[in-house]
Amino acid sequence: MIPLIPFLVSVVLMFVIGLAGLIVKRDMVRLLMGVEILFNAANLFFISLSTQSAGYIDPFAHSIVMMAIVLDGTVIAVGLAMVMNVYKHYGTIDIRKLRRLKW
Amino acid sequence: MSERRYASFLTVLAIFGALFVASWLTLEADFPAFQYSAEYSRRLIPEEQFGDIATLASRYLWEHRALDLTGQAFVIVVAVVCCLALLKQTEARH
Amino acid sequence: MVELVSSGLNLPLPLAVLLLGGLLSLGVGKLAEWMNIRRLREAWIVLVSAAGLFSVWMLYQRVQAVSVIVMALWEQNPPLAGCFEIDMLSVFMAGSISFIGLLVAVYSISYMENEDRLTEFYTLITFMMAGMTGIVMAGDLFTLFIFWELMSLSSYVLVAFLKRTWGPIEAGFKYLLMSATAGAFLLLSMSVLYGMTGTLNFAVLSVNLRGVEITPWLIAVFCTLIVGFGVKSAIVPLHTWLPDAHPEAPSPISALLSGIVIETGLYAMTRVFFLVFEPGVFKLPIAFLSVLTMTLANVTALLQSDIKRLLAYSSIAQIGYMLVGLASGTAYGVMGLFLHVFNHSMMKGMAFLASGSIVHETGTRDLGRLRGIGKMMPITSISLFIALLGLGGVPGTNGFISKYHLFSAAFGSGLGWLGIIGVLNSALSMAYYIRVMQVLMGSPEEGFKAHEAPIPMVTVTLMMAVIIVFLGVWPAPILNFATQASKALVDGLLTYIGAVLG
Repeated sequence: MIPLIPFLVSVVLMFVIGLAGLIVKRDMVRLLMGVEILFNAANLFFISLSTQSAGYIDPFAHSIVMMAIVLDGTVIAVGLAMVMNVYKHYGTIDIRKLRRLKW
Repeated sequence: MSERRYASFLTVLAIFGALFVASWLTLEADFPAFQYSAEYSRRLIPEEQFGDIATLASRYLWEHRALDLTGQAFVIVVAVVCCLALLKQTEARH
Repeated sequence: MVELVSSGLNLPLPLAVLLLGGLLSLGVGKLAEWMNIRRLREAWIVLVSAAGLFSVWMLYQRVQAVSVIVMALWEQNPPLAGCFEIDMLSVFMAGSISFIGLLVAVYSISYMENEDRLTEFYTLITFMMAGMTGIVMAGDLFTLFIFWELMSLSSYVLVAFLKRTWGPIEAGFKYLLMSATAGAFLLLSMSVLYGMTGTLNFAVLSVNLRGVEITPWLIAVFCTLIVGFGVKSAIVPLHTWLPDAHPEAPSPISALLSGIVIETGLYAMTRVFFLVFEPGVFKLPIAFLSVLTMTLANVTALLQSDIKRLLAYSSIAQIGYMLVGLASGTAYGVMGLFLHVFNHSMMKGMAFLASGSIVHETGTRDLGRLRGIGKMMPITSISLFIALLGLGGVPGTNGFISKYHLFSAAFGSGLGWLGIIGVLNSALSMAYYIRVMQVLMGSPEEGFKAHEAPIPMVTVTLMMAVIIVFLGVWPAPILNFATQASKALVDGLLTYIGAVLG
């Protein structure tokens, strides 16, 4: 049986990197990449859990991950279409310039 | 402190806080892997048939998760309609 | 007393009607474009939502005979497969969704007359309603996640629909970013739950995880679930997308979003919490979040000068009142919660539709410039007046009845301080509702002219006002339905589990 700790450490690191990317970065495409990293952290955790039963693998986790990859791909696609529209109006893809709607 | 310094200080604090909580959770508290599982609700595939594992796993997907696959087909249709709605270049008929 | 349906291809009837209607709506739109038939798309969506409402009525008859219906596909039985599990609470929420969907469809016949890309608009509304119906009927966490993404994708684009100006695009992008992050948190919590029990089926999760001792990983699951569902339900630290998204969306979409989409997030949270945790675990955290939500939203709403933004902050406050019902942890509190879900969809939906009529006729959303609109648009103003009275909780409207039940449930379950804070917040909210009423009833300035809104819009707002007053005076049927629904969730847990596990 493969020990779980290395997998768990990588999942947690990916989670923190994704969150840090969302907080720090100002380019919209990089923010969408941060969301994608968060989704992939969850997918990695599913896959690493399927190795935990001794001598067997659990195909449930593989099915879930195959569907989750498609779902977050669609979210990123719609996000990128929205980024194109933002560029048409604002001329920049810096999220700190999107401050016209306040209070 | 000026406002930008304040914001970056809070950001660094938040990231270090998240790292601290996450590493405490990983290393101190044992993850109860399948501690509460029940026999009737899982179907496992033995590891010995190394060449066939991919076929068996995808057979599981088609045999037991067809409802979710149907839902996912609708999500893909909706994503196509969404991108069409966002990227079409027509004018309003006034 | 339960029914397991699993042969062949069968989906619950409202879901099948809405999904098929959405698919065919693409073809109908193409047909309308080639043969240049006016109003074909609008007729199709009204037909589909009316058929959805009728099929919810038929489902209600069937669920009243047996308590729980479990539906699976092609002989694939739970707990290994995804399934739909329909009890009275699902029928209640599906009825609310279809009802307000029908009203919004009739309203948008004349509101969206001059827009383009109407095929995509009506298709996305139908798919959003289908996604919400799938969420309330799901019996498995991953099925819920798929329909959750269906609803969310449609709503991102519907908020950013009028893409000719910069406002909707900015609001839509911020909404997408926050809501996609919440989806990732939800998937993460699902992976931890899977890691602990080996399955994602509601019944098996409940049997295995309910009542175990609280370990740090279970607390981590609790927090990620609150973040995952809370961004969509606009609970306070995670609400910042809502005051931008709701005003910038087209008015029928604002009514749908405020009226039923955020409440569907609250339904999912209620369902998962009652299944996986004991009520004692989540009482205090939810009570704390409820106080934070109510107070912050009411105080910020006092400072607004844009009518739709004020109504958006009011929506956040109403979610705070609904969380009082969840925090009580009893069947009575949950009854108050879902009764307030239906009433709020009527009141806030109608408030957004009426202010949409005002914006459609005058072209401005600023309260300072709308003074005296009451004399020029009498029917819309009377309806808006009744909606604001209901939102503030004045006796005689259905808002009073549901708030009364919510706060007395809080007093009855040992959280007296929560009930007192709720009543004070309700009184505080009347302050900004009275401000809007003063604007409606003032005297108009020179040269300010507007005429009454077109017939579909006026009819819908007037009908919803009549429903608000009628349910305020005679609430017995809806009270009965909500009691059955809440009993099915809280007391009928063993029936629910037994339906799947036999």
